[in-house]
Amino acid sequence: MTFVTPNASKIVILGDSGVGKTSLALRFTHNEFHDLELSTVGAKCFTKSVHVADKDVHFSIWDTAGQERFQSLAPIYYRNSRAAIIVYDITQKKSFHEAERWVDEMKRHGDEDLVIALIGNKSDLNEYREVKMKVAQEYALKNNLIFLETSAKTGEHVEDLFMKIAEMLPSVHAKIPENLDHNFGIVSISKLEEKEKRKEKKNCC
Amino acid sequence: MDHTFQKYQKEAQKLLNAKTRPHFPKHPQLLRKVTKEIGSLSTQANVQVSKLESLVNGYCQLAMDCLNNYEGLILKKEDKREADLILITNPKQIKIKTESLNENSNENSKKNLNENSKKNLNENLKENLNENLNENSNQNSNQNLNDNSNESQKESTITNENYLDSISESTREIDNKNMDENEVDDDDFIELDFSKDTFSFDKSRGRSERSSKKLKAKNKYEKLFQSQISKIRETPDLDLSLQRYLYEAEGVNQELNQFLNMYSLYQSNITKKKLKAEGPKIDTIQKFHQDISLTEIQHINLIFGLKMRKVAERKKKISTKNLNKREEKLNEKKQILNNETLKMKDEDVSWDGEMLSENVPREEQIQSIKTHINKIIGSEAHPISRALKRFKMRIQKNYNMDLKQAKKEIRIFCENSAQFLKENFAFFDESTKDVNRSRALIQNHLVKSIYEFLFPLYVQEFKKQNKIIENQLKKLENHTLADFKVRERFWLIPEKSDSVNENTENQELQIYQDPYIKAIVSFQTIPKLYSPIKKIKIILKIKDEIEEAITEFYKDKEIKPGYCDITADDNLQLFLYTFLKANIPSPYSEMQFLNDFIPEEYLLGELGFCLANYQSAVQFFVNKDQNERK
Repeated sequence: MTFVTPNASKIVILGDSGVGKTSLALRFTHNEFHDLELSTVGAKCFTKSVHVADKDVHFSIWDTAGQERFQSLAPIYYRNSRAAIIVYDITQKKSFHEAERWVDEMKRHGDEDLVIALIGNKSDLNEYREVKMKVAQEYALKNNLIFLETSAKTGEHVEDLFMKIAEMLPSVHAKIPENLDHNFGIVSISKLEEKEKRKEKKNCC
Repeated sequence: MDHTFQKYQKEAQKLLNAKTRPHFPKHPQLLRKVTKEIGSLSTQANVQVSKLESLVNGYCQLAMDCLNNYEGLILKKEDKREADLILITNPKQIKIKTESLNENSNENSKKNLNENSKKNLNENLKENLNENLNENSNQNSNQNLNDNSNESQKESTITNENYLDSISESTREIDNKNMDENEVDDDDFIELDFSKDTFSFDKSRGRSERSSKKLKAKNKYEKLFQSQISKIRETPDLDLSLQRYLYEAEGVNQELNQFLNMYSLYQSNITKKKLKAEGPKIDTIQKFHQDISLTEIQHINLIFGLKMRKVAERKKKISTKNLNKREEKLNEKKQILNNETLKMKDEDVSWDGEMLSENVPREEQIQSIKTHINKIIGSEAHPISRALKRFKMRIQKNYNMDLKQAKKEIRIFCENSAQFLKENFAFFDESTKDVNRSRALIQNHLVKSIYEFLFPLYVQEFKKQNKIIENQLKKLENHTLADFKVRERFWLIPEKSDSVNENTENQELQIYQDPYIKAIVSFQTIPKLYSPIKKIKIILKIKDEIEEAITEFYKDKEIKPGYCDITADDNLQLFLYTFLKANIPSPYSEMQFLNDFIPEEYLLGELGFCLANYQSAVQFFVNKDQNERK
């Protein structure tokens, strides 16, 4: 509550209302879904640290309001963030279109180094699926996004999601000692690829 | 004769009557002389003395604070030590006062006389002492002690441990003799010390007067000596720790001396510059303090810096001792890791270990920084707190200051003072974390102290925006939770139970009370607070109070798990509702104020999230108005 470590990375969670943004953050930070004893779980800024590449990465996860009338307020929340998690509900096609809109917005207004992840939540409700995994995957590949299908209820892939984001964050590899050239090389190459892809995309547009 | 004379007489009597400090030197002769000196000086100078006195006291207090930080050897005897320190500082104060007085009366006095009188006095005192000692103890033991104490005094500046060793050796030698004598001898030598220090003021008396006084002083001294012995016999716990403790006091005394010398130099410079032309006036003295440049203060402050550095070194030593155990455990872990991983990654592991070991004392360091900065701001004499005062004065004068200019000046001031701290205090890390922290704390304090002048600038600057929001809030005055599209479960309407049918009027009043009244009331305290960090913490409190209200409402009711999960949407809606109902004055300038003065360190965490909530509430109402216009 007092001083947050200065090297904390801010992550913002975006998406339509009811896709499970808060429960996703809760599952990751407290590893719980519906807490039976405490009936209220306030929306806040969650914090957790992850150990990646021999380094602690501190996350400060900001939950946002998803309703349409609050969409104009989103820039207040997502500015200065290092990563954006855009969530949709696999049982609602409308939420996927909303996610696409968010991806466009973040590409336009976010930082150049911003890591974007597209997340299909509620993968435990496979029977009611409306958004095909292939469609989302192709979209993610096209836009160079991290893509995963998660379930906040069962906890499937939730940990993986944040680990992947931690690996992708530019700051994680920035301070590794120079002796570890091989590690550094891989990242820098992948980064270059990203930038090239972005340039290509810009040219297309 | 005079008011001051009586004052110093009282001080002298206090020194003489002090029962709890038998080991501490007492100089009745000196004090008497000092009082006579002061009595002979003019009343005009006395006014100045009192002014200077307060300043010196401020410095002494700061030095005391430094001492308190000292992780002393005798923490248990803190009370005693503090009392003694006051005693130590007293003669010094008197010295400074007399010096400053001398400067004023320099035109009349002659330096040659000073030197002569110094020598004479020294000789006299030594004779006195020797005679006394001859009467009461063996010459041999005296000589031994003489050697020991002289050596140790010379070495005292080198290290603590060496000195302590020498002291312990000396005490072992003396062990065969009576305890009483030892202690008394020690006292006397320190007394000599002090006499050397304090004989810098001028004496205008001839030898003839002195010879007659010599006899009187001798008699009185003998009495005092005997009384000391009796007092020491009453207190049996005089041992090595006391000697150590005396040594510490002495070390501090030396530092204080250095510092006071510098201070007197600085004071004399000022008096030379200004007093010659205008004569002594209180106003001019006040002006000097405003004119002090930072470099001069830096010079003075270096001594404190040194002190703090010593403290930091000690702390490091202690923390390393504590960490030794942890390091052992870490080493075990390292070995296991080494077995598992290749030798290539050795460096990696060791680096990781360092990270872990450093993590623990950091929190303590943060706390120490906080307390230290609070001390700095609290003390009157520290350069930063003085600069703060001057800054405040300047802002008070320039009432029509531009907001941009004010912000710029605040930023520059905070950066300068943080830089100043970084250069002068050892406990700052090389990294910028500590500097940022201290800057944030100083900024918060500065903004808080000039809030009355600063905030009106914000109100003026953002008049239009404030009006837009205030109009909007008026329009929506009667909006309910339902109008904000809050989910029905959070309306918190209590069910009417059958037993309440009687006294319905009272009940209805209670029923229609706002469920979130607590949060609204605390929201209304925001404009009353001056500190930006406290303001933002209120918003955090509001969020908690909303949650509390909901949990309390559903405490006894059976609900499905997850029924009361407050999502970000609910949170924002409820916050908007409290924002509307609280209806604080000039909310937009409040937002801008917070935006400018919440330190960056806070913005990533929970407080930053609160600020974002506030900002989005403001923007929500502004946008709503714009949309209606379209």
